Amino acid sequence: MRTGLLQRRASILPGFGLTFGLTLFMLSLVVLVPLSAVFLRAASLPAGEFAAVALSPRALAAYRLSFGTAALAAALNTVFGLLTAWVLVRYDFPGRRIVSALVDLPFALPTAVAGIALTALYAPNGWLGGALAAWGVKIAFTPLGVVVALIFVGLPFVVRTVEPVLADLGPEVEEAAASLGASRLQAFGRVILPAIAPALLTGAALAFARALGEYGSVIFIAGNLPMRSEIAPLLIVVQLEQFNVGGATAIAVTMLLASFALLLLINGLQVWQRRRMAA
Amino acid sequence: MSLSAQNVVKRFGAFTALDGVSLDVGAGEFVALLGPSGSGKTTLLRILAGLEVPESGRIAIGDQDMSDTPARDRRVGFVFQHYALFRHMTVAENIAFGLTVRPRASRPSRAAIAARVAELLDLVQLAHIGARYPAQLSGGQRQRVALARALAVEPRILLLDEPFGALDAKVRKDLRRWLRDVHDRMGLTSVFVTHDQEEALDLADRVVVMDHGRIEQVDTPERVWDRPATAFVCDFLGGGNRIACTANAGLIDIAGVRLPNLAPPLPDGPADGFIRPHEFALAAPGHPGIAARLRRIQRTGPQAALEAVTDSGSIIEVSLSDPPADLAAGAELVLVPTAVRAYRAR
Amino acid sequence: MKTAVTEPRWLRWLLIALALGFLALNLALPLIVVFAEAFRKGADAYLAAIRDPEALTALRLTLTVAAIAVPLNIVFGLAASWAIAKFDFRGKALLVTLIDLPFSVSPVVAGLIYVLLFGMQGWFGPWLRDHDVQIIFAVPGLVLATLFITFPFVARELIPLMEEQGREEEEAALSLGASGWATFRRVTLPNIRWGLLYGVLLCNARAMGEFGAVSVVSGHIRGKTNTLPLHIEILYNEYNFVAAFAVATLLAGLALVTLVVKSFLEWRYAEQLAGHGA
Repeated sequence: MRTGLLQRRASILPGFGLTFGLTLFMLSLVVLVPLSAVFLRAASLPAGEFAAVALSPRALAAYRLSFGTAALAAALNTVFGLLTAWVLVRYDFPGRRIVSALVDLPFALPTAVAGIALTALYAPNGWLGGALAAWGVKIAFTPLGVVVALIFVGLPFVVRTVEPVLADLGPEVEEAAASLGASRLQAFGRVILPAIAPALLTGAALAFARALGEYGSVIFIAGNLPMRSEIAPLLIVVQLEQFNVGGATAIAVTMLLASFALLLLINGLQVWQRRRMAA
Repeated sequence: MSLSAQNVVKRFGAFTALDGVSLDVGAGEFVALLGPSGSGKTTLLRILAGLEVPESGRIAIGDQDMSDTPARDRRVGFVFQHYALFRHMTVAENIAFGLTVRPRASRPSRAAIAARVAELLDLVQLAHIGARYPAQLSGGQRQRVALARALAVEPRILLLDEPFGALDAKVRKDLRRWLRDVHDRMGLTSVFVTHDQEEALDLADRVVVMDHGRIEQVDTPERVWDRPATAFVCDFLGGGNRIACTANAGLIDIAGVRLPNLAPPLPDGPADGFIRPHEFALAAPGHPGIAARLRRIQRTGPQAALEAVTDSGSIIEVSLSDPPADLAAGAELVLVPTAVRAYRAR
Repeated sequence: MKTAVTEPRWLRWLLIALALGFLALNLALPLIVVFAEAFRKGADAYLAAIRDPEALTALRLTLTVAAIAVPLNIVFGLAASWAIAKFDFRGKALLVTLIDLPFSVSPVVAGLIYVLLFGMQGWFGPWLRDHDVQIIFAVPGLVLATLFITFPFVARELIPLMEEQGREEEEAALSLGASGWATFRRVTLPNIRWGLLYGVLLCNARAMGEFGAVSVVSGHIRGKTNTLPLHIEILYNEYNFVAAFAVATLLAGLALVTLVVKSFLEWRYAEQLAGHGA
C-alpha cells in the first residue's frame, strides 16, 4: 500500500516520485533559488542604501512612468481587445482566420524587433511620426512611445482570455434577453458584460503585468531620458552598468513585490471566473 | 477462476466508498454489482482490477493472494464505462495492444498477434472495421472493441464497468444477450457494474446489491426480486407502494388484511410494507382492504394502470389485468393486497 | 454565427472596421516596416547584412541556446504535467502557481537574479572565478536566463490537456499488462503530441527572441555572447538601420512560421489541444 507523504490519494499510475521530484528539482534550480537570492541580497542591504536607490526621485519617476504607461496600455488593450474578441467570435468576414493568427504576433515576434519597428514608425522622420509631427504630436522618445510599445506586447492577452468565454457564452443568452424584451445595448450591458467581466479583468491584469516588466520593445522607442521616459526595468540595467548591484537589487525587489501582488490578483480573478463558469 | 474480496475498506478523503466489503465469486459465474451512484460498486470493481488501492482488505484470484499485485500483472480484463479506447490507434491496434506490450520473451510473433486480432474481430463481429479509428465507430461498436481488447490477453477474470451505460435501449438489449453468450462460450468469470436493476436481473447468475459502501444482499435474481433482504433492496428493485402496516405474530396486518411476510422475519410492531402494483385485487365495498378513490385509469390492451388516492391523501399505484369495463375515475375502490414485503418501520 | 439577434449591418461593419484598423495599425504595420526597412537599400545590402560574420555568429549562438533550453523545457514540461495532471496531492495549486511565476517576472529581473548568483559580485562569483568556470557573460548564463523566461511554456500547455484526457486510457493500458514506460510512450505521448508541439513552438519562439534577460547576462561581447536580438540592438544603436532590420527579418520570419504552424495546429488538431476543443 503505497501512500506517499505528499500523495493525497494513492494512484496506480507509476512515476509520481520521479516526475514530481524532477519538477521540484528544476523549479528550485531555475526559478525558486535564484529568485530568493534577490530577496536575500536585498535583505543584506543597509536600509539607508536600499531606500537611497529604491526610493530615489529618479526611481520614483521610473515607477510612476512604468505603472502609469502600463495601466494606460492595459486600459486601451481592454477596450480594443474586447472589440477584437467580439468581432472574431461573433462576425464572419473575409480573412478572419488570418486576422486571428495575427493577434498572436506579439507572442511570437521578439520584443527587440517590435521595438525597432515601432520606433521606425513613430520616430519624427518615420512613416507615421512625420505626419503626426505636422500636427504637433510627438510619440517616439516620449512617454506616449512607451504606451505604444506596451499596447503591442499586451494586446493578445485580453483577446485570448475573453475569446473562449465569449464563444462559450453562445448567442442563446442574448436571444433569451431579446425575447424578454431587452435592447441590444441592454443585453450587452446586463447579460454579456457581467458574464465576461472576470475574463476581461484577468486579461487586463495579465496585460498590465506583462507591460510592467517589459523591456525590449520599450527601450528603443522610449528615448530613456531619466525622470521623463526611463522605465523601471531600464533603471535596473543602468544600475548594473554602473556596477551598482545593490541598487539594481533594490529596484528589482520593489518590482518583484509588485509582480507577486499582481499574480495574487490574477489567481483570485481566475478563481472567480471558474466559479462563474461552473454556475 | 474464482475471485474474492475480504473486508475491503476504501476512503476518498472523508468519504467512505467501501466500508468493509467481502464478496466471493465462483469460477464461471456471471455476477452483477447493482446499486445507486455512490454505492461503491465501481470502486469495488476497480479494486478487484488493481486500479484502485484499498486502505485495507485482501483480494484473491483463484487461490492466489493478489492484494499487492499491480494491475498489469493481475491478468484481469477490464472494460471501462467510457471504453477508454486508445484514440490514436486503429481498432486492430487497440485489440493487439495487450499482446504487443509484453516483454520480448513472451510476446507472440507478429503473425500470431495478427491472427489473434482477426479471431477477436470475428468474435465481436467487427471483422470489416479493423482499420478504423475509435472516433469513427458507433457506441455499440466501441463497446465491442473494448471487450475484444480486454479479451485479447486471455484474462482469467473479466470486469465490466457499466458496460451498457452509454448505449441506447435497442443496442443495449442486443449487446446484453451477446455478452452473456461470449461469457458462457469462453468460460469466463465475469463481474459487471450496473445501476439498472432490469439489466442485473436479466443477465446475472447472482446479483450483489450495494448501498453506501456496504453489500445489502447477494442472491440469485429470483431471490433478490422475490425476497429482498432489506427495505433498501426492495425499494431499489422497484418495491412499489410503501404502506404503513403492523407486524403481529409473524403475519403482516394491512388495513385489516393479514398476509405472510415475504421479507425476513421482523419483531412485532409498526412496519413499512412494500406492495408492488400488480399485487392488488379489487374487492366489494365493506370488505377489508385499503379504501381509495380512483383518480386516473390508463388502459393498454388487457392491462390497466390505476392511480388511486387514499383517505389520508397518499397515492397508490395499481396494475390490474382485465379490470371491470365500467371502472372510471371517481370510483370508490377497496384495494386488497395479495403479497407484502415488510421491514422494520424507519 | 447565424442568429436573428445581432447588430444592424452598419454597426457590425463599423465594429469590424474599428477592430481591423486597430490591429492593422498596431500589428500589421510594424511587421511590414521590418521588411520594408530591411530592403530599403536593395537586396544586396540586405544579403550583405545577413552574411556578415558577426550576424552568423549571433545566429549560431541563438540556435545553440534554443537547442539546449527547449529540450530541457520539454523534459520539465512532461515531468511536471504527468505529476500534476495524473495525480492528486496537497499543494498542487501552489506548485502550478510557482511554475507560472516566471511569466510575471520582468525579463530584466530574470537576468539580474543570475548575475546575483554567478556574477563577479555574486554569491558563487569568486568561487567560479577561482575554478575558471564562466556562467555570466557566457553561454551557460544565456541558457539559464532563457530557461527561466520560457520555463512555464510547455508545462502550461500540457497540464490542462492531460487533465482533460483523464487517466482512463493509462489505466486501460496498465490493466492490459503494459509497463509504466510503455504506457507513457505508447498511450500518453501520442495523445499529447500536438499539444506538446504547440507548447514547444511557442517556447522556441520565445527562446530565440528573448532580449531583456539575455541582455543582462550576456555582457554584449561581440561575436561571442551576442544572440540575434542583441546583435540587432547593437546594429541599431550604431545607426546601421538596414543591417538591424535585415537581421530582424530572420526573427520576424521565425515569428511568421510560428504563427502559421500554430494556426494550422489549432485548425487541424483543435480537439487535441488544451482549451481549443469543442
